[in-house]
Amino acid sequence: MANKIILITRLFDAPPALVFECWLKPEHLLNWYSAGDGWTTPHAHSDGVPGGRFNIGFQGPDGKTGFDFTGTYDEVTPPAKGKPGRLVFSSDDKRTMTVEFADQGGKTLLTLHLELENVYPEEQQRHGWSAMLENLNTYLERKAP
Amino acid sequence: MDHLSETFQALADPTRRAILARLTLGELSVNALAEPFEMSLPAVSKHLKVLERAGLISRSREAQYRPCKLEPQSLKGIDEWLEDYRRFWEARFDRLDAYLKKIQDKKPNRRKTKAR
Repeated sequence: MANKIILITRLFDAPPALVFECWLKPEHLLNWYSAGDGWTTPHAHSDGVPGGRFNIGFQGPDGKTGFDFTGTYDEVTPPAKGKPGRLVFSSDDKRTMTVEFADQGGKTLLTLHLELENVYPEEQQRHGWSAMLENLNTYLERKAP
Repeated sequence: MDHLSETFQALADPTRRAILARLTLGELSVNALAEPFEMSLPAVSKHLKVLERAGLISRSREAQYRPCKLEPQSLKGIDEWLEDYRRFWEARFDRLDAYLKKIQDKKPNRRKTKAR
């Protein structure tokens, strides 16, 4: 856990099971997982199981620019009573993300972790990235123009 | 390798992160930097070279002992990269939020959502 950066958290007004489904099922992904406003998602494939693959297409506003976001699911744990759901996936360019879906009175607190050591996995990690970046922020606040 | 990748690679090592953390307190000589680590001076110098190549630190050429100092601009690059990434996800979550509202409104059995 210490080697992850919490990139973002968001409270969604929907139960964890539904939010989890939105991340896993192609028919849902097509509706929101685009690369930006004006971008479309021409296709989405998702095995939705550990070790399974995903392939999501992105097309730019000009209709020409586009790429496929492909990778593998490392962990697929649906939310259960009193237990948050967890989705871990790695893109083929070796970026790993962990998404947690915690119940908060019927709403979903979603936490997206970015695992930086997986971007450059050659070294074993001892200290957390987050601590380093926190120091960094304090430092930058003090020093940066 | 692009500059940001080089920066991340330099930061991937815990010793190098510890060195940077110490340098946030001010300039230090190589000897002073090496002190808390169980490591030879050449080994520390090697780490410093990686950090210097990544632009994370610079070493003065004026004083004999060549003190090391942090280069905030380079660290700012990481901060900006993370901020861009965060913004990208914020926008994507806005779309998920809107989509969740839409599909829940269609299902009368589910709880109705309220506008934020």
